[in-house]
Amino acid sequence: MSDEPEQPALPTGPDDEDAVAAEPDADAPDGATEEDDEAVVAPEPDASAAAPGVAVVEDSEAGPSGAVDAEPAVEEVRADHSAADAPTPDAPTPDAPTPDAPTPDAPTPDAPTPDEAVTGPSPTGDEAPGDEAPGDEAPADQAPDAPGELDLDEVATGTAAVAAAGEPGRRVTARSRLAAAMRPKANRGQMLAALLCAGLGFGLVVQVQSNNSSDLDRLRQSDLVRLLTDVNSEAERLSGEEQEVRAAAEKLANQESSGQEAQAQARERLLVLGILSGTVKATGPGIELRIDDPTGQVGAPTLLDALQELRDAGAEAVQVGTVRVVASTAFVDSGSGVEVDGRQLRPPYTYRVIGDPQTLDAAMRIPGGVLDVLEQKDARGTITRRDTVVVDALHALATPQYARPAPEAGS
Amino acid sequence: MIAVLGLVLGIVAGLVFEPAVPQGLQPYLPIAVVAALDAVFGGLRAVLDGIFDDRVFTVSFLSNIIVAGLIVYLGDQLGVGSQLSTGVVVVLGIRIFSNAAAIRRHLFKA
Repeated sequence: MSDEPEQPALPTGPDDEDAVAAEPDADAPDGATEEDDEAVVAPEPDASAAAPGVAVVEDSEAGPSGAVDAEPAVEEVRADHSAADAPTPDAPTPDAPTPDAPTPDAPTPDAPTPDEAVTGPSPTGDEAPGDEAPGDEAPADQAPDAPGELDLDEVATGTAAVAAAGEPGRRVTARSRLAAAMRPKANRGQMLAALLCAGLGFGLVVQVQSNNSSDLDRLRQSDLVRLLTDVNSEAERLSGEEQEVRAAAEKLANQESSGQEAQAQARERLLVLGILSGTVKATGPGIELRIDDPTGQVGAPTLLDALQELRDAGAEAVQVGTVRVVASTAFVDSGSGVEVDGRQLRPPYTYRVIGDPQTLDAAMRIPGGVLDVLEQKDARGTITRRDTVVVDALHALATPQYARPAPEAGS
Repeated sequence: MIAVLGLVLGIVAGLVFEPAVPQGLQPYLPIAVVAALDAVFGGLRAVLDGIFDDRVFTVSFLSNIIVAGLIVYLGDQLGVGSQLSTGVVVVLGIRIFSNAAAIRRHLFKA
């Protein structure tokens, strides 16, 4: 019984939590009321004697500790007692006044007590002394009450502490209760609590582990469906991206190959042009034309005619002496010989010509052709067909001073 | 004390056996654990209040779990399972906090 006043006494602190704390009490009061029911069952034999006595004790205790705070709990307990005690005719009457009693308190205990005293104490007759010496009565009255009221374990320490220490006992009770609860006792309550706590610990660990181990396993169906949709759309997006990238890569590869081809073509073209313009050595089948001119009658026109005839016959690369013959090659008479592109040549003159040997040979021998003309001038031309003629003289290109490549049409 | 031992025993058992959570229970186990935690804190508070009763503790423990599970189940059926379980966790969290506050006041007077 002495525990009830303390419980409300604690929330007197102006904490906000008090408001909240009142709600969760839903559990605690549940316990309280039910226990009260039990409590009533237990002390029923004493009810007639104990109930009034307890009332007095509480009143006197509530006074010092805080009458206002004590009221609700006391009332509650009273109400339960009244309901439970209903069978006993005494109970209703003493219970009704008692809620008022705390306020009048110990100084005027006589005012309310007479009502109770009439019914309650009359059997016992202890009422009057009980009022004056509540401390003495308290242990005696609480003892029968407590076993039902408190958890079975706590009774001994909890009540003893309160009874002995009174007001200071408040500080001890909570911890002493805890200590008492910690004392292993193999009763039903402890075992049940242990069982439930074991279940809690088990579930806790299992959940934590399953939470750690797998993410997808514990998702609910809707989440999984959403996840699947997300993944699908993501895959779709990525495959689209892949196609784009593939197309780009293909395009680039095409460009590269076409670029390579163009480069190869350009290189080939460069070689061809080099052969034509005389900047590259050339080799191939052809003829060698040697012109012996003992009398010195062969001049530039004859040599030029011979060159024209060779070109007509399809000569592709021609070298006269050490001079490469190109489009701009000029033959000029000079003294005892001929100047070709500014280089002095003396007989015998040697043509190295790349082309079809047979055609070139025939072109030289046609009647009234090069060889005939040479014979008329007392010179002698000798033609040798060769499988491999090397034209190794090079023509130095001069960078054109004015001409520039014209832009291609359409580009 | 025995309760604490039971808790430790349960944790050890969970660590040793490492059972897989059944498919059907997966959405409910976390909620049930939180609800049970709430009941345990309520019981601890009742111990400190001196009004602990094993029957009340048992009933509140089990009913907490069942009600929390039912709420989540209902939420799943209504299509608001995740929101509703969040709500349940919030409410239970508030209760655990207030119980912890009461316990704290008992033990530390502050």
